[in-house]
Amino acid sequence: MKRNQLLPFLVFLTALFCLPDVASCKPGKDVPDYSIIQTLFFPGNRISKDPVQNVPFVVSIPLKRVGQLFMIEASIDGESGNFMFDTGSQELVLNSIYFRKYIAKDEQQSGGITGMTDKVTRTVVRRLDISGIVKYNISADVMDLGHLENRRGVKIFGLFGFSVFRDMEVIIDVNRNQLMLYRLDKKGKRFSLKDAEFRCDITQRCDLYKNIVFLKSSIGGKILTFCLDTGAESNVLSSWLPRKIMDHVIITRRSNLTGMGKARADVFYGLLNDFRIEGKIFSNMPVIITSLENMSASFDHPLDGMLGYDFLEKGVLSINLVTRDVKIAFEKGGRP
Amino acid sequence: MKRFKWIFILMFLVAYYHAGAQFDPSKICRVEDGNMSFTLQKSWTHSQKLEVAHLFDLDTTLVLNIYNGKDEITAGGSTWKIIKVNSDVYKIIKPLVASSSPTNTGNVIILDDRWMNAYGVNKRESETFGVNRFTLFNVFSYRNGKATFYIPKRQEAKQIFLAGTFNNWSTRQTPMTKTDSGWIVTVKLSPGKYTYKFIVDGKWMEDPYNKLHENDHSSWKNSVVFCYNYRFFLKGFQNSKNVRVAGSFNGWNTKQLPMVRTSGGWVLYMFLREGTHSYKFIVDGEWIPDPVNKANRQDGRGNVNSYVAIGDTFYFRLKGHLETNRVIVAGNFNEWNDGEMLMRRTKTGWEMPYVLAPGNYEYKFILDGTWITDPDNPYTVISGGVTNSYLTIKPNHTFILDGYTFAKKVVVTGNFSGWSPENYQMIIRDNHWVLPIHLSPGKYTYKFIVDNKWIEDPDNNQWESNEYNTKNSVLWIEP
Repeated sequence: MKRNQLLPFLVFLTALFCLPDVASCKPGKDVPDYSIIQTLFFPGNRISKDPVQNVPFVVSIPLKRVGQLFMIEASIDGESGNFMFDTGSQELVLNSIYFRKYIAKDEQQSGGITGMTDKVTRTVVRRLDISGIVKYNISADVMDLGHLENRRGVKIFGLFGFSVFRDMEVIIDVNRNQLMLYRLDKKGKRFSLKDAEFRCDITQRCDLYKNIVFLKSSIGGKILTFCLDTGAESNVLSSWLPRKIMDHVIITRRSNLTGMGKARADVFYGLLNDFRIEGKIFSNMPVIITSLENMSASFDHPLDGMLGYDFLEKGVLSINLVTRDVKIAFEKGGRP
Repeated sequence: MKRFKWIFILMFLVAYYHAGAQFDPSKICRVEDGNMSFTLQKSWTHSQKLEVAHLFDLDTTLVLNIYNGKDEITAGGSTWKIIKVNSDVYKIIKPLVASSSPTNTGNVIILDDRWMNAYGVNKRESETFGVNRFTLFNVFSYRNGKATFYIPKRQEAKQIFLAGTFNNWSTRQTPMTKTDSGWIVTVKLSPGKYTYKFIVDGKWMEDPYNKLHENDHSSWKNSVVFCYNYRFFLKGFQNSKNVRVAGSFNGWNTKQLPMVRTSGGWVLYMFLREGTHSYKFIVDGEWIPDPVNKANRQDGRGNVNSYVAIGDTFYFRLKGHLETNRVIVAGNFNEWNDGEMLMRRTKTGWEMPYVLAPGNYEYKFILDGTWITDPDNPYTVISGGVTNSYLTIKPNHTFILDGYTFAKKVVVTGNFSGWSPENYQMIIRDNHWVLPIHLSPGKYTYKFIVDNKWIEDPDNNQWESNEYNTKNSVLWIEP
């Protein structure tokens, strides 16, 4: 190889090695820039596609906001409708009002914050299509979600969380009502190197258990475990936390909330101070205080609280469900 | 002794002031280690105590009656432990009740509606009129019940969808078509107000060429469009500088609705909600009624206004009763006014044309002061124990119960009627019970009451369980 032929080759190699590491995090940067996308068309979304496997590399999904909850349009065995994006949900849940005809595998009781006792039927869905991400033969719980529909006036086919995005990086941007999904390789790297890396302010390796993301954070210096829950219209704190932690909560009123059951439980509404995650401090963050014993039991995991909408709106979150890295880029000046 | 008296009064005043200053709701309630506690003060005023009871959903007897030395008190079905901190400050404590059974799925946390109302959830609006404000003339058009939305350029986009109130904000139902100059889609819409957004390659986008928008949430705006159903036209007046229209629909605002000069006169297209509206033109500051509209009426203050009726005309008719001197129709559409709608005598009876918007109405005829239901209308409703005739304009659903032909009385009830057990009575037609109804888009739960027995709709497999562990049938009315 002649010298003038070698030079472009060396430049190419240098450029290749200088490509940003998709998993890296550069603290202190602004909102993530994920606008560079390979652009093969897929219905409903901006998508790049794996030309070999014919599976999308990147999917952009518009979130429909209902109150402080988020809906995604998806189809189950050909029937399309709204599904609540609920990262506090371990599995796919179907609303029995519309999916009663599905064949039951078994039945069990279910409960929640509000102590519901509805029967839950397990079934199998042949095909779930979320904007081109297609899952086959996945198990689902079938339960009555009528009370959720009634509270927010929207037809809800079901709900799902991270269980349907297991091999992906999920970017949640609630301020722009936007969900981005990146397919990952076995090492947790985005398939497409053309996609810009997620630039964040903080990062934490989470505990991913039964499809729930658990994060460590602290209140008043005490380390606590929170689950990340897009199905929570507010942050939630366990009523069993000791005085030292509760000293940082100002309770302003009693409130009502609805769990997955129809019963409503008395809870308290307040403002949380000195909440820290990876050194980032938050004050006056809205929070609900209630008993989380049952949730903790159902998750089979210690749980001190839930990070819901009031936390999610602080910025953009990237959750790599392979490496378990959770990165957060905080919005300057709050909401855009 | 006199000096002591003054010192005593001074101490009392300081104590009173101090007590008032300590009323800080943020320091009253604590939750820790599974218990909730409230620190209450005897010296608070009565209204302060009631405010605390309201804020923290406490029984008022609890807040008012804990200062009598008892160790515990039962109120609102709960027993509270009372701790006297000092002569003024009392603490009440109760363990929080944990829920009973574990969950195997996620939990959705929904805030109470009082809190959510601040964000505009469940907000319903019904504008009486509307005029579009597009910055490009060709980005929206509405003809023959078809609305065309157009976005110029955006050639780099791979896919654009239109989502709005007309398609339940579906993100996938209404794709736009790419053309050489932009993106276009036509949808069938009735006249009215709609909010919408575009979804460009999976990302929400307001219409950049539409100046009309409204807040959905604190930081979220939707574009607003009106599909027109009326044209105001004033012939001539070519030398006038400006012409506006004002009417009951816009509160007679004189500056809001300027008309556009055309070769034949002045014109303004707009959306007007169904019903009867009065209006006038303002030509260079001078008010004039519509010269070509014969529907003019005195407004009672010496002014003559023009009238326009939008919607279908319904004829109230009563056969016979020709011996009666005066027949009036009154209903909930005119707040049961017993002197307004005088019916016209015909050869066979009485009639009264009236424009009504789609909906459900109750009415009665008044024959020389005697109220009667419409003898030719089999549909009746019972409101507050009184039976009225029932009329539905443009029904969009019919409740049907097959069989039960032996039943004497069948009522349909649901959240649309406040679960009234007698309000909407069905009638029997061809071996099934029916009731046509007009319902706004949304979810409805309902049941039939067959001779006082409550049953779900046997032909509807969509149902949800209710607090009585029975089933409510579910019905969705799409936009």
